[in-house]
Amino acid sequence: MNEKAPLDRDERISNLKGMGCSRKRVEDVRFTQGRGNYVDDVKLPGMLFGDFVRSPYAHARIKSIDTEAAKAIPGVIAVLTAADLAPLNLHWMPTLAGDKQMVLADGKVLFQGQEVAFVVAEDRYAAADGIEAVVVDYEELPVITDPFKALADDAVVLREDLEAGADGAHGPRRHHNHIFLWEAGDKTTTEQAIDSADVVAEEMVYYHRTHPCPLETCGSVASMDKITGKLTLWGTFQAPHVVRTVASLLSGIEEHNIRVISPDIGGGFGNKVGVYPGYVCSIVASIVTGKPVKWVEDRMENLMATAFARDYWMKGRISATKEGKITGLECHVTADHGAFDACADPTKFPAGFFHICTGSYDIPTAYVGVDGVYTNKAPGGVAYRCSFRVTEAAYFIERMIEVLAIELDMDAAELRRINFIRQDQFPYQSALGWEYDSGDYHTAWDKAMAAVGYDDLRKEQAEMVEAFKRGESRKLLGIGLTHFTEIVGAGPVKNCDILGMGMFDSCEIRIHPTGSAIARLGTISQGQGHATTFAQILATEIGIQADSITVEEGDTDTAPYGLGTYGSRSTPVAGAATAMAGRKIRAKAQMIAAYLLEVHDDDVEFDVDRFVVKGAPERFKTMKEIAYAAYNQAIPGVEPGLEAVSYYDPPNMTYPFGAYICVMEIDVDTGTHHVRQMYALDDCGTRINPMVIDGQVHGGLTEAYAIAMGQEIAYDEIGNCKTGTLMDFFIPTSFETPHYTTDHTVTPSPHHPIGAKGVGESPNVGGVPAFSNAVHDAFRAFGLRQSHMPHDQWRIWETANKLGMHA
Amino acid sequence: MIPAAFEYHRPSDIAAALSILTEYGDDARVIAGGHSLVPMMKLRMAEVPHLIDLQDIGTLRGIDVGADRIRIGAMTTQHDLINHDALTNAAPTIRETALQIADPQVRYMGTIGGNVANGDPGNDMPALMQCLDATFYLTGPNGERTVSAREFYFAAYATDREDDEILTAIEFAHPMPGFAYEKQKRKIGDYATAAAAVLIQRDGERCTGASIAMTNLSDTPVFAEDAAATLVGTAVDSAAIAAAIEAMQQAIDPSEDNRGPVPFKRHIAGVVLQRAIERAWSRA
Amino acid sequence: MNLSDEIFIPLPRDQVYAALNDADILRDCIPGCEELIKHSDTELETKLVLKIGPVKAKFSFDILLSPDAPPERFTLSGEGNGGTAGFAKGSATVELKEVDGGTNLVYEASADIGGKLAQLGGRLIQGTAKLLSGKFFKAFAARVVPENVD
Repeated sequence: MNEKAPLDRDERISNLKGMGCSRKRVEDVRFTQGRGNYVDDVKLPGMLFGDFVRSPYAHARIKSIDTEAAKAIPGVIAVLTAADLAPLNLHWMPTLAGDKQMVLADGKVLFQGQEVAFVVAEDRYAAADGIEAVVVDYEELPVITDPFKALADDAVVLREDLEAGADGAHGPRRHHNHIFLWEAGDKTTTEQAIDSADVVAEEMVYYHRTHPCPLETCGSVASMDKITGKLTLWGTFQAPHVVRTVASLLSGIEEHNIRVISPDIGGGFGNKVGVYPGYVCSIVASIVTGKPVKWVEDRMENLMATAFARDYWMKGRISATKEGKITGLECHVTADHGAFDACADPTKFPAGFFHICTGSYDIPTAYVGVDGVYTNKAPGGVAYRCSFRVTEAAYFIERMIEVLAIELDMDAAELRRINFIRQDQFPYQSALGWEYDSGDYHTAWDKAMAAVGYDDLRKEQAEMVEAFKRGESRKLLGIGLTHFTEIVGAGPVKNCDILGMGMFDSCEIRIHPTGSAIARLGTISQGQGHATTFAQILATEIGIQADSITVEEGDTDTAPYGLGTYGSRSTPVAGAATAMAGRKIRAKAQMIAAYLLEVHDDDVEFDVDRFVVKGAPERFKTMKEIAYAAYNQAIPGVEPGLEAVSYYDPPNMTYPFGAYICVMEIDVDTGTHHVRQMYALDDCGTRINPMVIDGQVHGGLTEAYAIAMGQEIAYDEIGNCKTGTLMDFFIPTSFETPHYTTDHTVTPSPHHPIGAKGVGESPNVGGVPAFSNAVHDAFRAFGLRQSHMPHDQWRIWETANKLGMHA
Repeated sequence: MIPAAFEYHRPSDIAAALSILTEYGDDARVIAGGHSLVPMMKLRMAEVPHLIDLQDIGTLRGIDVGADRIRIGAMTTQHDLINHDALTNAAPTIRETALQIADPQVRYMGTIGGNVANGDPGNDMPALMQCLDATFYLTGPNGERTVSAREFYFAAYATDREDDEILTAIEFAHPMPGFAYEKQKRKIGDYATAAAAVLIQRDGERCTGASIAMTNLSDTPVFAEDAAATLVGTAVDSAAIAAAIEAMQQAIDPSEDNRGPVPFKRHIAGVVLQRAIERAWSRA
Repeated sequence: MNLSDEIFIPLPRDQVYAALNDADILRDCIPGCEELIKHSDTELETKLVLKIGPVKAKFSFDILLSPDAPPERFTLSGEGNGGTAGFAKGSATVELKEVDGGTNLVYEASADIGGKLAQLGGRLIQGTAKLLSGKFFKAFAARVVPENVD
């Protein structure tokens, strides 16, 4: 052993930088120095550039496309239209939701910004010149931007490609613009419970259309090597393996001949889960030209054409006894999916996990029905920093609770408290079919109430209302309460798949002879810090310092198959696979250690970074020593090497939860607001890296703030996207972003190997209702029940105006 | 966001700039900070075959605080305005306004000349210039002429400047002491939902002079002469302010956009004017 | 977007009506008009360059005239294609009222714009439409009432 004084146990733990350590993000060394490697940084010899001609119309027939002038522009190599893709059967592509989507406009366009032609040129400038030269003759058709109008008897047929009356991917379609009806729960029992209740609150809650708007837009580089027959595809993919499989199925290229690489990704938030026409066109263009082809969209294209989020009209009824005990919940959703159903949900769940909408409450009976509808808007419906439709669900129930509190004339915090699922009810079977793994909602709630000084806030609020009524002040105080329960970690293969691919995930570990390691996963970080946190899980599991473990993701030639990163699934699924693979390593290490120490396998035990002989702590072998022996010493009955792979199929989802409270001042005259306090308590089970969690919560809260207070994708009546630039699409700067207070409780998941639940999306799920409820709460004393988001200045002003507060 | 091809010219004096402008006519445009024109070119909404960059023309820069009048070269950046002590002492309203334009990155590039010559009703400086009764200096093939800021704006992007003229400087008298530029916007970097520039002179409890102009409430900046007149001779009490707001409402003509519907904009116009008058009065 | 105005033209109504149907006069008066072809009494085709500050967009318009009660009243509708800049469409009702010393031209127009033009320039459209129609009628008055020009 070495000459220095041996480290004590605490020092050894601290050196590992394992779970629970606020280890600095290893990725940031390159990101903060401009050394990230994004798709647009991929530069290959002879690379061409593709760019789209997009439709200015939201609904129009295409009478002709003239590409001659464009082809004559110097530098333009080719112009692809649907007619060129049709012989390859690539003018349409399947969506993740079982629908199909035009790659390039086939006869008509269905939303503004839809891809019409793909110009391939020697540089970006020539491609952009080419776009201007393509002449498209459109014949305008009636435009539908309202999903309710889309279902009118005389509404124009949007999807002429679908056979009238034929079933869709999710069962019968009752109207030519209808996609599916999806139901959960017991309708009859729920109606009976609500109709016979003491108190019923009814409300339409709209969660407006918004967009993930990642800093880096979507893009791809396709390189078809005609000699080897191998296609390499770099792209902004949140699920590279799924892209490989889909690309293989679409193109007929065998899967081993396709290599998909997700390099560094500058934020995804759900926007980079789906497959976009740009990816397909770059592949086709590379096959046609024999050269690499890059496609990178600009900001307007990203906001106009790649996947949006939300757009759920949720009509709800909630009932209770006069004491406030909830007796039933009913929700009917009219879901605007845009022109194609391109939602990214597990296949069997066309409305995602919306049926988590009973939230944190013990509700005996519930029913949910979701009608998916086509309109002349961009396709999408992705989970923008949330698990599938969970944000919509949390917003719905947290608004309904507030409305019920008004109906009962009760304090909304107390109403929540008396309806929370109790700790002793876990695992809890919800009325809509979920099994909540663990929770301690009352403890979290009490901690949050105490932290913000809830009772004093209510007193101050009442005083401000009185001062307003006396004409002494024009400001109001809103206290936005939220207790959310998420459902993340999709998911068990028995009920979760995407296009038939089970939603397990994977980790492969190789320990090098000198005791460092590489771990490869089927997920892909888009800023979550996987390289930091997964190394920490391993450090604790196998006793090798996190700093000596490389985590690699995103290259399908090297990484084990996985379903990617979204829906807070990386830690619950791939994190579990990592721990399980680590345990396989440890099991083999135990045999090696026992051999080296000349004792029976059962006589050694793992201790931080070594195996020690039970009862003789001075006799041990460190993991470094064991790794060396694994490769360099013949051990009877044990194969050389120290590697493991684990594919983890989770037995259940995980159910993170949290208590968020927003304290907001509102200026009734200007519609402006000031967030005085935003308190966020998260319980994500075991905490791997508190600093990374804090970062996740801060980022998620900022997105939630944006969504609640101003961010939207809005259309006018003829289908113009009115918020296609960052002038109008709200991204908060440091000036607008509120200050946050984070807090936590720890209720581990009982079924997860390390008890972790996932946290990346909780702040968006809980943050949106907290901010929105604050606005509503400020006006509660003046009679407000519901006003739709986003709560930007004019809408808040309008709320006050309608309540007669400007008289 | 890829512009069409263009020629880039960088003359070092006004005469050279004018000759390029004359040579290429409608195909040429001068560029100051570029924060309005360049995005439009990259979006291919503006096609400028000949772009004439004015940044090498030294005579277009600089701030001269004279005994009677203050002169600012057109190519002086917002950042320069904010950090010029003598200017801030003499006309603090310039600094207060400039600080509410866009964000620091834009203010390093954006110039006062570009802001006033552009003719976008969202620009902040035009209303302030009307409030200050500033004079714009224009140079063209026929020499130099001046035009009052209050006469300069016809409609969105339509101004008294001829296509072959360059706005070289602005000039105004030392302003009244009470000042305020009150702007409501959605976020940093946004144009005003409504903004009010106010200057006030007081003698004890009486208002002896006032000037008011409004931003982004019509297709031009709005010099609200009648609104200012209602304040003069009053003690700027709530009745006087209400009368000024009423008069201002007659002068503006806001249109609906993503910032909100017309009634909201009118309401905000009233709020920002009230706040601007109160602040200016308190400083007078 | 809606626009309405009333303009006095010191000419008899028949002459005003005739002028409004005269392709040469329209070509001269429509701001930015580069080409105007009269396919029939009711069908016009025009190519024009819309210039608003630095923004320039080339449009081709098809215009349909419906003279339901000439010369008192006619309606027109049009659709314009501006390529990648977007599109415009609209309709207007024009009434010509005989008044002392001439004719009052009263119009009510509504228009929609689409595409990039609407996305980027939406906030400026109302003012611009007002400016362009003002320019047209100023030019029209100057063209048809030559003695007005001095």
